[in-house]
Amino acid sequence: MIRRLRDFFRTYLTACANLFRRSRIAMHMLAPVTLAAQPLHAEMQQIATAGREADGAAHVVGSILAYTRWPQTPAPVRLCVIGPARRSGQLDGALPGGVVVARREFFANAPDVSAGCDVLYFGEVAQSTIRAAVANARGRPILTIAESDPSCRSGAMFCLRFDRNVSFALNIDAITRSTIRVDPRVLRISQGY
Amino acid sequence: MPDTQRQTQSMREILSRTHRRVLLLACLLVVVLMVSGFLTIRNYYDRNLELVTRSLNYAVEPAIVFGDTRAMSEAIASVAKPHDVRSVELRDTRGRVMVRWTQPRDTLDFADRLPGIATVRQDVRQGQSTIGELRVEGNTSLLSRYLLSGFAIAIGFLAITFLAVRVQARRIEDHVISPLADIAQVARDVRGERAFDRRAKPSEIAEIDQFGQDFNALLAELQGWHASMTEEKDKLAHDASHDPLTGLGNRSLFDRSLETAVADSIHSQRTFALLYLDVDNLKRINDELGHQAGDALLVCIAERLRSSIRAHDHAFRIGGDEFAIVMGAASNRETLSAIIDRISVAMTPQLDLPSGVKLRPSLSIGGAIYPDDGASQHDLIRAADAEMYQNKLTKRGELTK
Repeated sequence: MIRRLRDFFRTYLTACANLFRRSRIAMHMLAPVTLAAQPLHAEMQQIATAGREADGAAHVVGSILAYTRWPQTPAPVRLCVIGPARRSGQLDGALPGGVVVARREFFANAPDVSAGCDVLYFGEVAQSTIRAAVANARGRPILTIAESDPSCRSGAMFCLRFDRNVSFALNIDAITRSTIRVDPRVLRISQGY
Repeated sequence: MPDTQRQTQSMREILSRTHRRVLLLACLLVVVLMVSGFLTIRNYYDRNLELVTRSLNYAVEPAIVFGDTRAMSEAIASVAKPHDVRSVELRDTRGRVMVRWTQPRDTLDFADRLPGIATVRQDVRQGQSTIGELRVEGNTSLLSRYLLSGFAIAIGFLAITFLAVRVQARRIEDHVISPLADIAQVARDVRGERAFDRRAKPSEIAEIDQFGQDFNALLAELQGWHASMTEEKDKLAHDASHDPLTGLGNRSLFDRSLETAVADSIHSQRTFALLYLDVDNLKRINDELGHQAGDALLVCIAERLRSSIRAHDHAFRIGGDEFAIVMGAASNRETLSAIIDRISVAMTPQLDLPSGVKLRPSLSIGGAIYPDDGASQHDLIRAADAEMYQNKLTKRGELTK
């Protein structure tokens, strides 16, 4: 129950953040003020879509993690969310697929996030940021997932895609260069590589 | 001795029974081979299907985990298509069908109706938990093809066996049974027709040929034995009815001859004549000159008689010094006296014995005509004998004169 409330609140906040960004209003302003500026049903629709996408993202990420092998199995898997990731609401605790994650959040410009992270989940951050973080993480057993890079050029190993269903593309080079092993069957599930 | 009482079987019956058993054995063998072959192949079929299902399992597992139905279908199609799989069903943990993949049934794919051909079921697992179930049905066309070809081969094999057996039976019949039957036929002919000159034909089979040769040797011996027996019999018959000294017929032959002559005469309504001849003074010659002389005289007389009579007249020696002649048909008094004259003439020359003694044969002759002089054999004989006695007395009377 509490979790649901928390998820809802989180989704609500990220929706607000998006709105703030568009209208260039500071984040510290209260949410209900922005609510009044939008029609109610469109807002609800967006929230519903966001909820569905978060479920989908959790399913895909959980499945990817289920087929990933670290040199030393981390328990729980430390999943670090970088920047605002509005579909990452469900990425905490036991994910579909059975993997249990411990969630940590960082700001986009946080330095050296690689230490203490098994998975880097990039939200809406600049591609250069992602590239830098990925370069930083090279040589370490860290799985990189990008939420907002459908073309998968940022250098992350997995790039989520949100169409009617949640799917993903993967970067073969990135995967082969890292020290973690992903079950090759995942290749067949991906939408492109 | 009736042969039907013994229980014998014809060679054909024995052979056909043997051949039936051979065919039965062949059938049995074929059935056993086919069943064992089928079981072996079915075993491999099952293993193959198991392996394919395991491949499907491996391919489809991540798709289930990711919840991607399209990926599930693709994974199943990629594994199932090149292998002999007819249908694949992927069910979730609640038993509902998530994906079904089928291929149209092959024309030869009917063997799944046979017992023992089962659908393979495997659980799809991720780690320790079951996430789905695969149900795979195989394409049994290979199995069916094996069964059909096996069946065809079995039929062919049985047909060949049957033909071969028949050919063999025919050969045995031609080469063994026929020659034996021929030899048996020869035996029957020899027995039935008393044809001792029949022989068995040679045969191609060594044992039967040897048997035939031995049989022929036996027949040859039989023939020789029969010939000698017949010869001896004839000789004995001749001896029994002829006088050993003169070679003329003896008394019993004379009786029979006379009987025949009477019968012929009655039948042909023609007369015949009977002569009785008595050698004069034989006893005195035997006493004074010895039996050798007497015998020589008798032989001489017989010879002269033989040369005096016609072809169908027969001379007999019916006693120590008595002869008889039965004349053939159509004899009357003229022919009778003619014969008597001829005999008298024949007897006139002297007989020179080796001892130097000269003898003059002298006969007393009496004749009778049938049926004129006697109605029966007995009467006829008496008439001839009486006339002969009369003749003898007359001669004696002349001598004493």
